[in-house]
Amino acid sequence: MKNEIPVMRFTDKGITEVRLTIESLRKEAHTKKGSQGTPISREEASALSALAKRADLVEAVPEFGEIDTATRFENRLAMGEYLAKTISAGTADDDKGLWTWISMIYLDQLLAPRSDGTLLLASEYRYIPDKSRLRYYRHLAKMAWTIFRQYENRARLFLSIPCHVHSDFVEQSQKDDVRSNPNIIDLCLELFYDEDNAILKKGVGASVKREGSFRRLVSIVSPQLYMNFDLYEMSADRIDQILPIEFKQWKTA
Amino acid sequence: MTSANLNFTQRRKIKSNLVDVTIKERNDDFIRVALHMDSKALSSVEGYRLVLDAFDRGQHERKVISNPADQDFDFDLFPIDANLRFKIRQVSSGIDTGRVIAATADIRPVEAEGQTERKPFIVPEIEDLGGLPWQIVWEGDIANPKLVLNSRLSEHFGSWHHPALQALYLPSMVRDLLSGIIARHESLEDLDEDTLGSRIIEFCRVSFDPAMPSTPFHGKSEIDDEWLKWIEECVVSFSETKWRNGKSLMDQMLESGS
Repeated sequence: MKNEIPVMRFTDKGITEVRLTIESLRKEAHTKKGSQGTPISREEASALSALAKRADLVEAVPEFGEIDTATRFENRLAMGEYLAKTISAGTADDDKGLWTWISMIYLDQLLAPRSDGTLLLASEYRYIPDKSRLRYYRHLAKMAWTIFRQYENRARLFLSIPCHVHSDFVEQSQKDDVRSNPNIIDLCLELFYDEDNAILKKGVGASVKREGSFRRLVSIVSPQLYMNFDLYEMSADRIDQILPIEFKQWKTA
Repeated sequence: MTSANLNFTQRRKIKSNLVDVTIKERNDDFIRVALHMDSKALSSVEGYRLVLDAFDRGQHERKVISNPADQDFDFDLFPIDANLRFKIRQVSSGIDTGRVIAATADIRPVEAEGQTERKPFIVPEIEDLGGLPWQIVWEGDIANPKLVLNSRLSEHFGSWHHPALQALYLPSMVRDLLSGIIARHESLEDLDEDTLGSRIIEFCRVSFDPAMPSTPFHGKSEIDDEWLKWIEECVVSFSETKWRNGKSLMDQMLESGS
């Protein structure tokens, strides 16, 4: 059943309230450095999400119409596609209050469920946009929107994962030379993506030392090729022809 | 692995001091950029095209350069506040079409009002350090160490940025700063933007274009060998760069002493 409501954004006061609540939940649980998040109860998650409904913390964004808060997304690709249709203007890119509000209305889908019934609350920048060069791409909802707007269906390469997952694949592919080049994206789809099962092939995310891995393509092989070839003007097939033989393994995988 | 290992087609480097990229205007529809290139920057080969690539956060827009000496371009893909970087590539259109003949390192543009996007950040504090000429203090925020120059030196030379003095302390300070940052962090991502640590590494990457190792730093116990080589390459490039009036720090030091 749908639950369509007008699109809102958090005011500065609202963003501060969300930030303080996240900080407080994470502090109380003494999150270990390097962990995937802080376990919180479903009640705590609901309380955090409910901030999006507080009239004193939000304001309307009339240009974007309505959004269905009851939608359940199959994966980040579906989330990105829906948000791209609903939030159609590029000006939303810089709207921190909007993306914080969207994160809160879909919060239960952005928290990893644990076997004991609790949910993992990740770092603040997964829910509140951070413009830092090292963090801007870690916002779960906004990045799904950004990548889908940039690549539409080709975004399946990055977004065929649960909504709460920020995959290593997304992390490693943020280099401008990779994400900005549609020919490289086409090549990666051909090499690394299992179209039948709509997921990345097993082993794609292996370490940089593993021959043929995506990390190796991004960190070692593509900088070498960029130094010598104009990859922006070369089709995926043409790039494939100059790839080292180690990447041929994916053709039969 | 170094840049030289990767350059198997003998791509030439277009020196950044022969290229000027200025942002003339930013508005909601486009960012207007003026390009001026010295003709000496280009390789004299037949059959090529020259392109100006602009990047910001996963987006890329390309313009073909027809008049390198003086040409304006309107980039309409980026937001008004984009933190643009540019690259110029001279690409073969002959029998080896698609081969990069020459290219610049990343270029950070100058804003028309005169402010460059790169702010000075190696600015030492002046203190009495006794017999020590300079020091990096790693107390407190380890991503933001304090750079200190002995007040006796700055008094002797008249200024902390006297060329002879800078030639003596800057290359060593850069080496220690890079080594210290890399030894005290596990990876690049541990460094927040706007910290001294993040800025010095970004500065070296953009200015000198050495191939960055793909490995983590490894932290205090052991700095990865590839990073040590990277630091060495940065310090050599730093020392050889013509910073002012087409002269390296060493050139300026010798000149000021003659």
